[in-house]
Amino acid sequence: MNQDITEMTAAELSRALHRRELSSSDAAAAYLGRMTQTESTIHAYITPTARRALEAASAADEMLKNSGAPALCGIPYAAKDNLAVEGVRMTCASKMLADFVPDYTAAVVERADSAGCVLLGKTNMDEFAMGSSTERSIAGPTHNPLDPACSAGGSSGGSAAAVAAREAVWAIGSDTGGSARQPASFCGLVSLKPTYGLVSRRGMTELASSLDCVCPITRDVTDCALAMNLLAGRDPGDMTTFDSDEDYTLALTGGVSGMTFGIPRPEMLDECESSVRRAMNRAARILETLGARVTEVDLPLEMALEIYMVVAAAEASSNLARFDGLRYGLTAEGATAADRMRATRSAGFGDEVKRRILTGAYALSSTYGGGYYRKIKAAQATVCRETDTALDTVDAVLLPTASGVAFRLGSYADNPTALYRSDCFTTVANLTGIPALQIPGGGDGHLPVGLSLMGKKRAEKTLFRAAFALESEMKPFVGKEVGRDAVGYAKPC
Amino acid sequence: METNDVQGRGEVGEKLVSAAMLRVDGPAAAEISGDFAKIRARIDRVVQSPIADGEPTKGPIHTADYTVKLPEEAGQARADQPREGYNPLLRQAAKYEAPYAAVPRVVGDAE
Repeated sequence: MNQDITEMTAAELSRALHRRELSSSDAAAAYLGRMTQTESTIHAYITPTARRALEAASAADEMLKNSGAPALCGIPYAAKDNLAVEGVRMTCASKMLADFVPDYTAAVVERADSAGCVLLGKTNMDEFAMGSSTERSIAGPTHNPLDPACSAGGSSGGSAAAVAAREAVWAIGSDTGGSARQPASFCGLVSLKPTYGLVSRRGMTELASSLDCVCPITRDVTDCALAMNLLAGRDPGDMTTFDSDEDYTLALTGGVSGMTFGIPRPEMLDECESSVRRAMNRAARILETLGARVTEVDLPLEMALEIYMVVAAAEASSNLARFDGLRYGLTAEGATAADRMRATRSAGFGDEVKRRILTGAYALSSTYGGGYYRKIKAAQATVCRETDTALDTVDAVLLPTASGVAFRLGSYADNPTALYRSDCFTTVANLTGIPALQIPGGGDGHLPVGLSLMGKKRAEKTLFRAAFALESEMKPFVGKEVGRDAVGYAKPC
Repeated sequence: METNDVQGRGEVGEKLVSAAMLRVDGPAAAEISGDFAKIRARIDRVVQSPIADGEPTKGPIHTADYTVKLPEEAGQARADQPREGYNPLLRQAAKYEAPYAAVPRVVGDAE
């Protein structure tokens, strides 16, 4: 094999492994070597698991000797540090869990282990997945492989940066309001936020349980379909999951002729950078040229963002109540149990987590609780109804993933709540439980622009079909508009 | 009104902080209090808006057909060429080697 192993997509590497042209041990060694070269610049990982990776690769090589090994057998991947892996430290990027080692493994990691995937390590994130820049981490910020001065997005920025920097073939992230799609957009990658319940959340540290989704982050649409074949399906340990025996790769080649796509009205994109509007315009034109019809739709994006802030904060406030200094992680001193609890939480949580806990406590407080939270949930129901109505008229909606390209690290240090705006196109999918698939759509000179396709619940196959058609047509532009970066990392597309 | 909110002073009330089992003091206290006040103002607007009573956020879904502006219509030709040496993957790719219009907005006027 003359091709650099770390340049191969999961599909390409899978073919080489199954043909025995390469071994999984070769692949693991190549990626671990790559990590030693690039981690000092990118900082995608919190806890690398080199020994575990080499043992898993050896076991995968045994599996690959037999016919019928799973498609992703022997493929190195990374997992966000809010997914439990037995015996491997899980920090959630928080001082609160700096030394916590779980004694169980998340369902998605179990699935990956069973399929012979090779876990390279646990990736950096914003503390407890609260953030959009992967700067709020006890491990320090992750840098964008396409421009290390810029953010890799967040909160799954470590997972996206690992894939973009060729430090993993693919990665698992989580998405509560755009936390996997926005980093994938900033790093020029593909990510699917699946229908709520399609992928098990068991073993993932919850941020907002009714909104959280586990998501793959991959180099292209084909790899994303392969990853979803692995991750999707019912888990007895997560009662919100449902059966799925789909082969998403079969949906890739159907084309978009005869399909109808919605796009947001122009004023909904007023805040977007020109490169984003240009990418939207071009993608819409490509869809038309491929035989699809494109029509305008109204989506309650603005209201969804405001409602999301309350629902996510209220659920986070409840979920984080378990960190009391008694059961998990950090324990601080205090004269009484309440003092100890307050001291632990005050020392263990960062400022952003405290902001959201206070917001959630406010929304749920006894003074306002009945009227306040009930009204927010009523507003959420309205947003769901209007989104369903919009999706009734089209096969999928095309919209930006973020309003611009990756911003410079530190841009929001003085005004952290302004960063909440970066979720304005993504939260509606979490709030309504529908799937959304991010693909690269162009660039502004050296950083990529991301576009998303949203569809009805369980319409993942439709999204894959459209995304594959768009990806195939847009690759020339993404390649041209996202040039090679200053430190020499390969282009993501 | 109870005292477990910002009370219009831009400060996080003691009861709220206590209910959250936190302490907010030191240099970060003023910043967190200010940020919380901003967030509270935003979410209060949602609760006070008609949508919280089940009113629609907007009018009927608009379904005007999309019309792409041609470069000459947009008046802003832009040479968005595929990178040199790129081998188009699908049959349609060659069509996009023509200059693109960089229009200021995504959608042209419906006709």
